[in-house]
Amino acid sequence: MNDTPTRPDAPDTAEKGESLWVGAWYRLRKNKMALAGGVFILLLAGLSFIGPFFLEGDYYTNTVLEDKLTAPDAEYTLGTDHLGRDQLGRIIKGGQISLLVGLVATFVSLTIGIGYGTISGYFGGKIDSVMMRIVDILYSLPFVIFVILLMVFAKDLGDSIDEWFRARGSEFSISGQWNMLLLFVAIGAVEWLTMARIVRGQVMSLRRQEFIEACISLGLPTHRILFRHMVPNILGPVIVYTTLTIPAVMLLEAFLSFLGLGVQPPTPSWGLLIKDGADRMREAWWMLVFPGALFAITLFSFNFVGDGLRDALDPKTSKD
Amino acid sequence: MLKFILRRVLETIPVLLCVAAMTFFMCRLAPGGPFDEDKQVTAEVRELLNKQFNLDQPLHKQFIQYITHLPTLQSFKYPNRTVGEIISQKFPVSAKLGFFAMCIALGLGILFGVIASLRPNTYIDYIPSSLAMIGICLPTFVMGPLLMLVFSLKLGWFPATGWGGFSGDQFFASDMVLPSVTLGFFYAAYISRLTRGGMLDILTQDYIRTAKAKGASGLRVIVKHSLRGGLLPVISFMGPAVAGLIAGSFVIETIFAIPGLGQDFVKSAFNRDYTLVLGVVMFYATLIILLNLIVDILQVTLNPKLKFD
Repeated sequence: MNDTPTRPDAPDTAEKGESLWVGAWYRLRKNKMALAGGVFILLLAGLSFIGPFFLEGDYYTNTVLEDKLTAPDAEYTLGTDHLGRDQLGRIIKGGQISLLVGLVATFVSLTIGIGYGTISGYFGGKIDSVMMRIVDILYSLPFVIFVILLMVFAKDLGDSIDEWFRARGSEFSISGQWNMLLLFVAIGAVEWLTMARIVRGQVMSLRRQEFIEACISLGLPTHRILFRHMVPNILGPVIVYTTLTIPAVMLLEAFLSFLGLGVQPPTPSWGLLIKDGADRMREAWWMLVFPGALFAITLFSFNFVGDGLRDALDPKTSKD
Repeated sequence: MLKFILRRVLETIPVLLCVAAMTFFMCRLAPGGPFDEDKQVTAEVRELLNKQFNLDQPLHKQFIQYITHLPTLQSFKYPNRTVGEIISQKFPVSAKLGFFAMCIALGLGILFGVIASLRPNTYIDYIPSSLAMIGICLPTFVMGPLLMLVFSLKLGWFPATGWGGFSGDQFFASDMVLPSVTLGFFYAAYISRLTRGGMLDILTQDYIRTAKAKGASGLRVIVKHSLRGGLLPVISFMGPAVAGLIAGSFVIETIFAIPGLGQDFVKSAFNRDYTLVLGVVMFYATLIILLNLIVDILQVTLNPKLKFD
């Protein structure tokens, strides 16, 4: 974190930036909850992305019907589900899917939000007021409803695309990954609004600083000013808000999967596992409690890391 | 003020039109149709059905017909009932759930937020604040089944499903407790954090010290002098909160088997019930925009600083 490259073309900010990152790391280290959250997330990511290499290929779909609904014991650490699949394997795969959706959809929303906010804040005036009015209006819309509609109605579109390619003699197939792609786009497309607002505010205050005026008087092209000089300077708030967006995105994915609109079985996601657990909690509490608890702890950790980063990077806005 | 309200009301018309157009064309351009599941229908029957529901006309004509006659249009799935009838029958159930959840959220949230702000960074502050953190991180679809598991299946305090209380004539029944608590808890947690932050800002102001100095009682200082300013962040959160309550009701109604509008909406989308989908979306969109307007007006009335903008 503290090895921010020194830019020869912006000496003023580079020096300031370094002390900011060093100070931030110092403050973050003192925040035990944020550190614990960060360690938990790293462990979880390691377990779900590296763990599967040590397991058999069908670890999350292997069905042993005579072992169905086994309570946690020596063979099945976390029990089995209604089809006799190992719950631990399904939670690992589910974590992989949930984290993947969380990261990719956050990246999508990050890209849209930064682009939109930078343009709106930099140009100001009429462009800004129109662009921000649009954000205000979008804010007041029932977005979850649109995401649900999009997930339902575009579900079969993947098959149609495959057919279109097959008719032209191509082997290209997208329907297997279609639902995941749809999730990335649908969630990314709704979560960018707050990011756009934050970035706009930052850019507007940077806009009046001398080094940007210097860039303008040097005659640098606008895109260079925006993406070389503005964007690196708004990274702090962006990183903070990104850590807070990931849990929001994971929550939305789980919400959709819970309603049967997200990830499609037999691939598990935590939302789906919680849904299966809620349906069978009378006979198998472990199907609900383990994925539910893990999901809650994960959201907890992301929020703590986000709050910790905010306090570390911007001590002024911290309330405590 | 009147000009502000008028401008905002006029602004909603194009917004609602856009919502209608987006919903309509998203439904209609996607593959699949409302009669796909009844495989046995012959070509003639299908044609008759299409004619009955005006599906044989060009899209733009259908769109105009949809938006001008929306409440009186027939549902595809329940052909003898109109969209307006279904919404007016199902919405009160969801509204009741939302109302009780909101009461819990505001009551508990403001109470705990104020208590926490009075003694910051002591145990009186830490306990409600960490409870709030749990409330924010535990999603409704985890908490609902867990509460049901503990309080209705193990302890047997409350019935597991909320069929009687919400749709019956009684104002309140014991089966409404768990769904309302589940839906309201997240917002209670969030509101208590907002209240705590807002109150902390206000309590350090000079005029609070003046109020105390002139001998106003502790309760009077809180209720009369601090809450008005301290609750401003809560008020501005009310708009998004209502939108969130609506989304939350989709899940709560599924978990507790409550026959409300939220469940109908998800089902109607799966059934390709075009008229009902559009009806419910337009209904919710109008509701949210209207409530946002009320929140904005409230904010201006409570915060004189905003009047000059």
